[in-house]
Amino acid sequence: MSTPFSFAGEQFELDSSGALYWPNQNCLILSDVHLGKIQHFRKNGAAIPLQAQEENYLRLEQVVSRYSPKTLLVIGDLFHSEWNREWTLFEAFVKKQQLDIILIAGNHDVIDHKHFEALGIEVAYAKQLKNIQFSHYPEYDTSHFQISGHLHPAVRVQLGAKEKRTLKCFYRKNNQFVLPSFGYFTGNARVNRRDLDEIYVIAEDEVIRI
Amino acid sequence: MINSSAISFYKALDFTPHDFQVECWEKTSVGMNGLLMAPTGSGKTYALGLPMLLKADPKQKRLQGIWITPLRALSHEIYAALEKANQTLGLGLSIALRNGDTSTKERQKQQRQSPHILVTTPESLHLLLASKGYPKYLGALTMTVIDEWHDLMGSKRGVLIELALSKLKFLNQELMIWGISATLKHPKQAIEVLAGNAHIQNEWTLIKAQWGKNIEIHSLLPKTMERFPWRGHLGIHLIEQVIPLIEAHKTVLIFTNTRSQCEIWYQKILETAPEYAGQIAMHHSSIDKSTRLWVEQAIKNESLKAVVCTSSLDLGVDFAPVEAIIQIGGPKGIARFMQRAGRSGHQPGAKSIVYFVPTHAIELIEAAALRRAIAEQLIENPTPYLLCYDILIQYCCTLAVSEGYHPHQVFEEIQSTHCFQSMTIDEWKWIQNFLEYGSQSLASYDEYKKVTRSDDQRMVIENRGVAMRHRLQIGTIVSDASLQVVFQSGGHIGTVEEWFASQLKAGDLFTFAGRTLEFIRLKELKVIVRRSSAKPTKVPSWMGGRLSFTSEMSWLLKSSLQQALDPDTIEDPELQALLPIFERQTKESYLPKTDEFLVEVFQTREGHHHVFYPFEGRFVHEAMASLLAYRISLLGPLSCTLAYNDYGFEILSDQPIAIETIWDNNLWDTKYLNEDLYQSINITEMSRRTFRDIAVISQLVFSGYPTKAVKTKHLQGSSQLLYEVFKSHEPDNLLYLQSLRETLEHKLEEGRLQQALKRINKAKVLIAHCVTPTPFSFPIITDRLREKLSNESLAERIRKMTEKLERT
Repeated sequence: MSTPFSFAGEQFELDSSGALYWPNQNCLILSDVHLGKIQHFRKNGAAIPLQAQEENYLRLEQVVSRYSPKTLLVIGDLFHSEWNREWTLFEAFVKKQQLDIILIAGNHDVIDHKHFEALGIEVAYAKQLKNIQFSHYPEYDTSHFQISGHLHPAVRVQLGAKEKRTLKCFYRKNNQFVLPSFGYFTGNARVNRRDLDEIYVIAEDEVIRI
Repeated sequence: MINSSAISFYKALDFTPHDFQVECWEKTSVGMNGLLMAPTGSGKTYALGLPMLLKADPKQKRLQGIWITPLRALSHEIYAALEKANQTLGLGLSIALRNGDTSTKERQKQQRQSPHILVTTPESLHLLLASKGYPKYLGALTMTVIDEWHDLMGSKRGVLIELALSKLKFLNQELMIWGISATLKHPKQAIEVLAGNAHIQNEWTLIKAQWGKNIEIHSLLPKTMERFPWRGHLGIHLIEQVIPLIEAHKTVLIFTNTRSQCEIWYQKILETAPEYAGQIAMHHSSIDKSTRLWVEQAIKNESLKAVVCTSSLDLGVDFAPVEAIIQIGGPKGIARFMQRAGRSGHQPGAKSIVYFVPTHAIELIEAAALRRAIAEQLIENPTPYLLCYDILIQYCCTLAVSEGYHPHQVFEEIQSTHCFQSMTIDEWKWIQNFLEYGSQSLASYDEYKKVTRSDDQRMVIENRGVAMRHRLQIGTIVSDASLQVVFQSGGHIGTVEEWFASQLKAGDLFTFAGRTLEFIRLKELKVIVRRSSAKPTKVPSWMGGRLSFTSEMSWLLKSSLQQALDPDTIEDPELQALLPIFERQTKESYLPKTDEFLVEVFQTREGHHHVFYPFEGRFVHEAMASLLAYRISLLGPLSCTLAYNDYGFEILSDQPIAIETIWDNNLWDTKYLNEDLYQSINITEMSRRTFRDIAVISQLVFSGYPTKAVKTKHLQGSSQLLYEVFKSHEPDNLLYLQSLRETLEHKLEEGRLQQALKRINKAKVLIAHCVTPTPFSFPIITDRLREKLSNESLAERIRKMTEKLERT
């Protein structure tokens, strides 16, 4: 399910998967997928279930079929580490899609860009669409609107006298908007609620403003 | 031979040995294994230390004796005692110390030139097993002693010892093993855990020191009982009576149950008696290590009048100057209480004096119960861990990094331990597969790398990164995510938990380590502060500080109450003092006998109160309250909140619950207990926390290098994540299943819950319809930390909380 959100004079949908949909541009935006992370852990001796790898592709397919966008814009950290054998899964996924894929390279995207380009993926370091700049790192530059990722933001929500939960969130601070991590096997970093202007948490299959 | 030399040692010191010491010397000289139950300060070190020294052959330059202690501080003490005997008797042995503080250089020296006797900790012993050549190094051992076994056996460190012993026994068929523990109620079980299968094949002997230490308990009774609060947990109202006690003794230790209580008491003592400034100190596990060591030294030097402390001073070094103990609030367990009492009166022939400071009226019953426990010498046995796959995986890696191992042989060895006696071959195969293939069947696609098979079918770790990470992570003590508190100008003060730090904003004042500090900012993993002279507003509290009644304690409490039924027979001053409260309780409700179960029902502005009294401790009550509320909710709609303490629990709802229906519908039944528990409490949340430790121990996540701390935040996040991953993708993973089992067995004390439910089912039920809250119910119903029973969706709950916040 999704929740409407307006930013920089444009209308968006906040999807409970952590993705952002921009109907006007027919563009789906997501950040911090961290593909290949499970294989990376396993390579280093941590036996994370291999089956969990599929989860990211299931999520990607679901959200793509929900909005059928023309463009998929990944704003960084698509692949977690140096090349490993999960690449073949990624390759298979890309070949199935009828999409333009753009990757704004993040700090984790250390794989040689020619591998992406061979799959028809455009790689850039920043991208301007209408009056909004897309980048991996948030810059909090108030002179222009910017949408970024990188931080894996989450907030702690009090649910009762004794129960607190940490939930992934989207947030806005002035002209800066930050997306949660889309990937299944990614950690979160708690952000301080006091400093932010708008917070939307992901509560199972809903997105709620708090 | 041992006997005569040992006696001559005692002659040289001008002492007469105790009977139990002579008995130890006799039994060890014929090579028997055993358990010695003796209190600290009774001479237990020499009872087994002398045989260890005298059995060693100085001409043979190999390791012959290992003494294992749980604490570094204690290992220094043991080392000094053994060295003293070595010198006095002119044995010419080399004795060495090896623990986390030992430098790499020193360790290498020990490796090259083996000492005759080694004093070490469980973790350091495993590090020895992780180094090449251990079979030769450890192959000439004749004797091992495991100190403070009662403390170790209830933790995963006990499992480390069981596994190490299985290897040592394999390397040395004739190895003599001895445990030393406090006086336990079931010594046989303590022997079984230590000996594993060996107690069947070889005879194990039990030696009990008839060395009853005299413990006196004095409770501080309020001058007028009427004015004594019915609830509370700090006990500050009695501070005026505590000050004269500090004055009357050379040094006192003031034990509190939580670190925040410790901070508050320290502050209040200084406010009430400012002349003590500089003469009192504080000691708890979050205070910086160097400060703690300084405090410990200052106690020995007699330069302190009082130390306010927590369980951080329960175990460890003997402090001769300590004349008395002040215990604030109920210590909740007999073992802990005896341990603390034993910290005082170390001069020969001196008594241990304990002053008990109740925090609320009903707690006085605990003092009477403890007095009985001491008279009857009842110390509860801790519950040993079973089938710790996490530790086993770590142990297999330990063997794989050093010499490698043959699975079938190690399986045989570990089956002889208590922890893994019931392990099946399938489970063992699962573990080997986990290590070799990361619990996968097909290897084609996968890049998993950890343990590999060598040409001669040994399991080995060849990857240097994996090996190094493994060595850094040996051990089982998992610390909470904590942040260091440092002055802006430099200098560590201690640690606070991350969640406390995250609540602070610049300029906030809090008290810590007895000082008022102003929070400046959070930088990396440090809380930067400066001193302040203003009045503090916050006291940090630490999670997991809560203690619950042990089963023995709960039984003693019930029988103490039984005494109160017949006022003429009461001897304990505490119960005498409580008589007006008991009268009030009897007038309004009942005082239950041991075979009765009391339920009180009454109505206040808050709603309908239903208060149940199983007297089983707060952990059992927490589970029981949720279970019962869940089962009642299956009969019809119910909206309620729950509260509990060590005596009972409450279900508060907006409509009355017909208590009879609980019995009519058999809601105390133990059938489907686990299923209903999974439904009723947030077991997921609890086992997720358990899984965090399991993931670290089994090295699914790496907790970081000691020097450049990889953020524990990262560790915590990723182990929570892992929990979800296993739950949905590999629910039959043994480590995941272990986290559920440990939550049930150790956190929820499922075994006790079962028994308690059965007892309730058999008990005679007393239902009291009261007009007002009773003395018993008052501390429970005024608990503000209530659990709400709710079956709404997460989103619904967040919306409600947000609305509530907006209204206020």
